[in-house]
Amino acid sequence: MKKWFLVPLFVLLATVIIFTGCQQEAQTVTQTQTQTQTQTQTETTIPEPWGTLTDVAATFGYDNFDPNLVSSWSGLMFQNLMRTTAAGDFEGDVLQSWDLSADGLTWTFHLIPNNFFTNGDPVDAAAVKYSIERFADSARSAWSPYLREDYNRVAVNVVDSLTVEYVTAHAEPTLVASFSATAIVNKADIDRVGEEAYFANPSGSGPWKLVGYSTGISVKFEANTAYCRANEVPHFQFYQQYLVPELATRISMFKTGQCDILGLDDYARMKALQDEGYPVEQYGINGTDSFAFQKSWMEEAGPVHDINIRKAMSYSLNRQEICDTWYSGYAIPGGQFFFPHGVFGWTDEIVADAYDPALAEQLIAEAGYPDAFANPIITVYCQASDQDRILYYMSYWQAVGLQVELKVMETATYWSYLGFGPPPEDNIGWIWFWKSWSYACSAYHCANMYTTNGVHKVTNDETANALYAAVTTQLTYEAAREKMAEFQVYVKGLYTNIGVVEYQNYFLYNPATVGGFDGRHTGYAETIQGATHA
Amino acid sequence: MARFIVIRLLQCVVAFFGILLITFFLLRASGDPSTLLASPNFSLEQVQALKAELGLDKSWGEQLGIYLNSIVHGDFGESLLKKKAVGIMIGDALPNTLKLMVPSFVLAMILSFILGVLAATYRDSWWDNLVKFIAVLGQALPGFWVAIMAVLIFSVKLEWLPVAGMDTPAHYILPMGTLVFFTLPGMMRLVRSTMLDVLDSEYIKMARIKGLPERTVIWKHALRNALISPLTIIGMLLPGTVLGAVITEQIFNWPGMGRLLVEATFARDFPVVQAVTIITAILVLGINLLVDISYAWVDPQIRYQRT
Repeated sequence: MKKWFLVPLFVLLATVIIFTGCQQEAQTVTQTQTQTQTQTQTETTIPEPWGTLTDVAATFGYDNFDPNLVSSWSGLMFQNLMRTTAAGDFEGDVLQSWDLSADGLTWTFHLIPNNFFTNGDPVDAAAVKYSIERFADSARSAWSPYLREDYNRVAVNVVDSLTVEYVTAHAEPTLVASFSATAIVNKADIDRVGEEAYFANPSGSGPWKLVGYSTGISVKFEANTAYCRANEVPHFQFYQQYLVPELATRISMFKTGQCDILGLDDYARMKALQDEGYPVEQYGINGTDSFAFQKSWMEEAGPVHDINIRKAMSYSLNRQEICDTWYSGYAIPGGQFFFPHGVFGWTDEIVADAYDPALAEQLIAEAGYPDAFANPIITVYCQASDQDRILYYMSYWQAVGLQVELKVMETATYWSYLGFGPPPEDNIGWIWFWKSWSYACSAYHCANMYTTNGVHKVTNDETANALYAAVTTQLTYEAAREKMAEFQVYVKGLYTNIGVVEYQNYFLYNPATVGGFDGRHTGYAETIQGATHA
Repeated sequence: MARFIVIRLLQCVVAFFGILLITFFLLRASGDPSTLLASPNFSLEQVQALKAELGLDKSWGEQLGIYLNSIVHGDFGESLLKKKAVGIMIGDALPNTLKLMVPSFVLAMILSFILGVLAATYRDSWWDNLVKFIAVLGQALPGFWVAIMAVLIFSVKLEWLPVAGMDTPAHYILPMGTLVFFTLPGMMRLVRSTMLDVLDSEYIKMARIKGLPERTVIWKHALRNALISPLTIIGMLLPGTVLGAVITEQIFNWPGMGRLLVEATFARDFPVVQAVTIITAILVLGINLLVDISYAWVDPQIRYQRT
């Protein structure tokens, strides 16, 4: 009897094995090459949007429609003052153009005429002035702590209904970065219904308008056919995003056609799906992995106080191997904190340190490690989701003889060390891992890492401070760009933050419903906006 | 019987307040939710303002007083994360969970009784072996794995059923099947073993000697006497079903209480976690009370025992 009892068990196991084996079969979709397309501004007849583009998200992030609070969806609904181009420059978003006075103090913004919010109110100078002041108000904007000297703002003046004047205390061409993050909200509507009611169902002037939101379940947008750039009106009538926390469910929904777009942070799975024939689309600027050495200028920082140890930690990392394995080829060696290839100030002088374990061991020996240090243990901190990655990186350091330990900390707790709360203890000599995205111009973020007043408390170097000051006080953006390159080359040599890799941003799409993406690829929202029908 | 019910009710009230207090203090021991609720770029002032707005700047004692007062008034407060009345959120989620849980539980019970009785009646037959095999599988396989495999096989490979959502009857099949698979094996084995004991008893033999039809012997006399243990277990199975709903709702993206609880727990959304726990506790305690009463009804000796 007992033998017969085993028969169904074998049948079940065989079924599981067969199904698992079948995963590599049936490549029914055509793989397409990843491509980044530049925006075409041709005047063509715009067809009526139709169909629904469905997307799944692991989290809705900061679940809010207020663009000042880093809403996940603000890029869909709102236009900003300026926007970035695929080449990493800046152009007007609600602006048709802008002028900067010869002394660099006065910016004159010229708005696009006949531009309307989705409820019919005009995008006028009053709305722009209100939005700028709201964005610069630290009580109502999460972005304000990033910006210096109160947005360098002396006055915001309405010249006429389509012209706004922005006066600064000193020349600061890098303010374009802040302007490109300033979403234009509908002042007239806010005056009518109040901020709370407005942001519950906002009317923006972006390419999509909100038509449905079910808390924690889904959000739905409809193409704004009155969008001021007719050739950028979405091809899909609706864009619906579902919140699906479970990774396996998201992948299954994608494979069964229940969703058209799938973004993955799991590069091995993304590669597997790409190998099955699903096309991927690259978007945005590369992000970077880096390690920040907290207060390493202090002697109490232990081994990482010695630049040789910090350099050894860089030279012992096999960046190409990390790109090939952990990132399954979706990354390239190099980059620095908020500073990947192609961004403001990028220079080819910045080259990733080569993998040279012999040099690393020599530097470690020169530092007298471990005997020269009372406590030779180097502590790396990261959030829980990064543990596996950091353990992998640590294996390189251990291989050259460094004694490294890992401690996990909630990111939210770590923010308290950055000035956003009272820190529970001093963080001298800690190493914190950053997986950060980037912007076309990340001058302010970089200042936080490399200047004495920066919130990261990583670098305390007068030359770095002076070089950064030069970046933000030039008369022109081009001059600032050159200064930024000088600044980045210098701070790389300090080894207070070591860049590891630049990871590329991709999502998968279902070729049965999506033909490609013909819009700007400057970010996720902009890329989705250009989705075409199969 | 009335005294029995009153004593059980009082025990439920004590248990309920115990759950309430434990939930309150454990949640606060898990950390400060304002660190998670604040936008990543909030300034220190904004974080402090958020704490004040959420009442998190008050002492635990004050927070407990406010909490108990709101519970007495039937007000679960507002979600820290969603800024929405918790009562409304639960009102949205609870029907979805019940739509899934109740039919699954009822189906699991019906199947487990039928299969358990048949397995005991036809002991050592192929049918009995099949039931034992299903029971072993159901108890050995982790729930989340079963759910994911169900999706892989029936949705991705065979393309018979949708992966997630709750729009059509087809959307119910996989999550309900998974929940039934969680609940079925334990109860089925219990019914089988208690039925085997009862079928071996003298009064069943007497019933057969008297010439009663086998169907009457099995389904009337034997099953009623075999019901006591399974009825007790039903009350204990319910919390397991709630846990199963957490996993099932997560995998099948079912917008019910389980998913709400998971999301709120990760965000330290105290009011939501507290409210979901209270609702679940009321459900479990209520079912347990009903089970106790039915237990006393099935076995009259019990109601006369001092508890």
